[in-house]
Amino acid sequence: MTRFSTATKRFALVAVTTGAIALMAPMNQIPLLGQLFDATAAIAQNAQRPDVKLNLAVERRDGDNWQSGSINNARPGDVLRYSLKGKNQGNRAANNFTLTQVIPSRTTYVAQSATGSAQITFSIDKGKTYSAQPMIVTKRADGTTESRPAPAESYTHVRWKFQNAIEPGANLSAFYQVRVR
Amino acid sequence: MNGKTSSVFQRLLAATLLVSGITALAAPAFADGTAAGTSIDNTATATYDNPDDPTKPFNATSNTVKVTVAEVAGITVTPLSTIDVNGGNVLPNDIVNYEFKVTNVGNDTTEFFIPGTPTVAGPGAATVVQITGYIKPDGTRVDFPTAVAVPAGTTKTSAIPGLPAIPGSPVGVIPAGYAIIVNVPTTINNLAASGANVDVRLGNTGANDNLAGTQNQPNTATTATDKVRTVDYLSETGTTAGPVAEEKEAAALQTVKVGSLSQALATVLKTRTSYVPNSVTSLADDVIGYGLALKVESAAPVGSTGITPGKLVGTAIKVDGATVNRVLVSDAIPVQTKLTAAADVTVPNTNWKAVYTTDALTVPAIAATWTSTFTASATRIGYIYDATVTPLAEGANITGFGFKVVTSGVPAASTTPVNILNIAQVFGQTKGNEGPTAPLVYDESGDQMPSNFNDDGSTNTSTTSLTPGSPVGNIPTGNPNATNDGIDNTNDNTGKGPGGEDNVITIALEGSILNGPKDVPGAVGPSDNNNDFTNRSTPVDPNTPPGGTIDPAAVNFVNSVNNPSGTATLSNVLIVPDTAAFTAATGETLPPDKTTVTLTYGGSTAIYTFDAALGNFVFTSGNPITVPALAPGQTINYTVSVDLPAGTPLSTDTLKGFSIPIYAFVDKDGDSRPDVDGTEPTQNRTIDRVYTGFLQLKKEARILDKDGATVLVPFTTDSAALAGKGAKDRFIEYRITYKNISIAPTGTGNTTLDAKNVAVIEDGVNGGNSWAKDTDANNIIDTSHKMGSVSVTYGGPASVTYSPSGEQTGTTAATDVTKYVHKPGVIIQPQDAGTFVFRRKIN
Repeated sequence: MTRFSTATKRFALVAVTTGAIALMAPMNQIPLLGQLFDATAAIAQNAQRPDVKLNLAVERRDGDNWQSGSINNARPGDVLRYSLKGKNQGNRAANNFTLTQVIPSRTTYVAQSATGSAQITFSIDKGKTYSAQPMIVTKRADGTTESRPAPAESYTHVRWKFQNAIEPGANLSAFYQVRVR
Repeated sequence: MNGKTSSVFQRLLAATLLVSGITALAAPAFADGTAAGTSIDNTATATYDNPDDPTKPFNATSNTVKVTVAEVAGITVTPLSTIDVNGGNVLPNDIVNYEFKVTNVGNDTTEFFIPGTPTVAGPGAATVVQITGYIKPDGTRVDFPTAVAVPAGTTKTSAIPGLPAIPGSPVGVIPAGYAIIVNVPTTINNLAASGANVDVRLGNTGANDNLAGTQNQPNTATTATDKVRTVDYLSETGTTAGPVAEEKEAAALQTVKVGSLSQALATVLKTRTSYVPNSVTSLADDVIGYGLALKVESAAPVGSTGITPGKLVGTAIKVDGATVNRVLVSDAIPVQTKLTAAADVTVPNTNWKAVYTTDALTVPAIAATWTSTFTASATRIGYIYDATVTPLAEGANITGFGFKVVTSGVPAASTTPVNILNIAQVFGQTKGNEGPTAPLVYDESGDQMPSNFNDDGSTNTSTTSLTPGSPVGNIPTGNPNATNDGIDNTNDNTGKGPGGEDNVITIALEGSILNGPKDVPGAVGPSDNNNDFTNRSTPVDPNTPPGGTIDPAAVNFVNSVNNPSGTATLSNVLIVPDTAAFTAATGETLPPDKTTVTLTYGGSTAIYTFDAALGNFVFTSGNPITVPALAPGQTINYTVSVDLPAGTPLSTDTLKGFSIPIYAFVDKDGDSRPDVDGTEPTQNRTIDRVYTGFLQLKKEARILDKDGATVLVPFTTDSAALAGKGAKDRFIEYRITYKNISIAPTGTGNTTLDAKNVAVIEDGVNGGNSWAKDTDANNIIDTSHKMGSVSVTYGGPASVTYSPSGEQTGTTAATDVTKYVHKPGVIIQPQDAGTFVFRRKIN
């Protein structure tokens, strides 16, 4: 079924651009018509997909306020807040929407700062594994080890896994903060 | 007269457990900030399901947001060293180099303004300020071939004639993280009095007191000629705008006392660098690697006074049949181990040579006979340096000493965990103050303090008086004793307490478990690692009379459990209070009935109540504490809260602490109790011991006749006996004895109770005392102070203060002493005792 659908899609593209010729062509009618019907259905299905657009913005903390706009004079120690806004501009729901953010180089994650209506996990191994509370095993010189929560400064990625589908037209948002090293 | 003696017992003692803080120079705000001009780019990505093909999810990518980092100026000025050029004591006409470190703690290149005119206070004079080199961010010091004088006036570094460039940077431009070394050579006046301070200041910021307010402050007066400040480097690339309006300034002050001792400050550091357990069934083949380092400090320890750092040179030792002067780093080979192989012995560089001795450890390292030939049967390994030509200068940091030992002395069949203890020593002398009667420079490993200085910067009187000619018996042998030395628990030279601290590793077979005080799961108590202990005390209201009872507040403990195996995980480790196989020793007892013990670990809490009739702890509520899996080498901490019931007697009366035996064990038969018949071999016990007060105070009195010598009633607590002999012009002498009754240090790694900041307060008109009152209203107080009658065990005369106005005697409260306060000034260690005695004449 999958293979058939793919074949018809390819045909459909031809049909749209060269439709007149195709319809007028003297052909063995029955299978071609069948293909045409399938192709139309495929065009409709193709447009019916989720399509989430993302927009990223940054603000800088200034006392109790957040300054937005272009930041070309950040200083070591400054706290930046990244805001991710998304909208499903498609016409089907986006399921298992998973948003991933690298903690930018020369910044460190600010503990407890990630928010959003999603399950939030963190990586300390450049995105290989994620956990709500990454742990590190520290080895003492005598060979014994100890497991303890990884410091927020060691986080490399934040991930938001939205439990609910992003319905067509629906918005989503996610926030986190970093500190400039 | 009875009124004068009725209050023989008064609890007038305040023991507070405070550790005084040391105000260190503030760290720079951001010594290694992101470089100016750096662009921080950020893009978000997302994935979501493709409803048509789950194997090919859709991706979404956001726009990219750029943040650019601006240039931020930053500067610190810190004392680097004070060096008496000709060594020895700082004397009139000596030249002392006051070195300062001026660091660019901003995030871009900068220039500095350095004042060309020295600022000296006290009997000293300087004519020039020099830049002598620079220090890289990794701490490497580079000295210029010759010192460069800073001209007077407003001169930024790029305009200083003859200043060499820091490689990779234009002349006078200091990269972020780099520092320049500024020296002010100062000549001590020929008439300078001994004890006078000679201060040299670089910069002028804030209170000029070396505290945080003097570092990296906004530059207030941009044209002042006495400020050390940043000057934006205008030609730098990568950034457009410099921090012109935000230049920073800093200052530092260094003081040298005339006549002060130039003293080499040596710090020997020791860590375990490797551990290989080898056979899982034997403790006799474990291999432990050690690494050593030696530092010669360039600044006197915080809290010390009158010390000028000096250079380290050798002291006389016997090597290969000759007596030579060498700096000696020595390490006693731990008991039950021997050196592995010559190939495992490393030296920092070719200037250092490894040496060995087989002399017994009773022979101190500087009296031993050393050979440069490796022998596995060595009792000590040493590293020697010939400082005849090049002394080890202030700031030297020598790393790379290493050796390995194998635990071949542990009996092959041994299954009991074994503690391997070790401490390193360094011996030398100060350049310019050498010879058999000059002081020995001596330090022990385990902490960061040089030359065995105490943590508060005071000198360790037992080792500072040593000389190479001291009787051999007075030189520390370096044979570790954790009870006396203390432990560097975290294997990183952060031990506390006098002298050095032992490095301890516990080796154990698979299937063992270690349960002990926080961070020391392998602690060993009076006899073995099943009676290691943590002693803590409840607060006690100072007005609680002897013989009284209290309802103590709960006391919290943190214990550590460790799986010592290198390979095998322990599953379902249960932690419970249990009296199995527990027999109270002298100085301890099981807790009173209805004592609650609350264990907490990983979000679970289990409460047990002691049932005296049953003789054991009964699970009351919560969830039993189980550690599902303890990985090889893993250590976890759990807490124990002990709440003794109302009506608990004072430990200072019973002389006993209340012991809570806590087991960590693998419960094979599932009965939640540790079986001690050998069927549950994976088990270990630690004791959490609560004292209801541990500093006992006893007040006695005696009556002396008018001559002040004839004892009419000897020291007693019997008020009636005293009252019968009290008469005008006789003397009553009070003796207050204080004693720390808690169990004395023993074994390895136990936590004992020290009484710190002890103060004995004797108030003659309060707290039940009447000896300074006028109870018969004849306008004469009932007793008068006898001048010179006070004696103390600790602290000497200076430890006693007299109210209302010093030591005096009279017949009114204003002209006599109505209150004595005695502060012994020493830590009263377990089982230590002291007295405070004063005499009053009966009026």
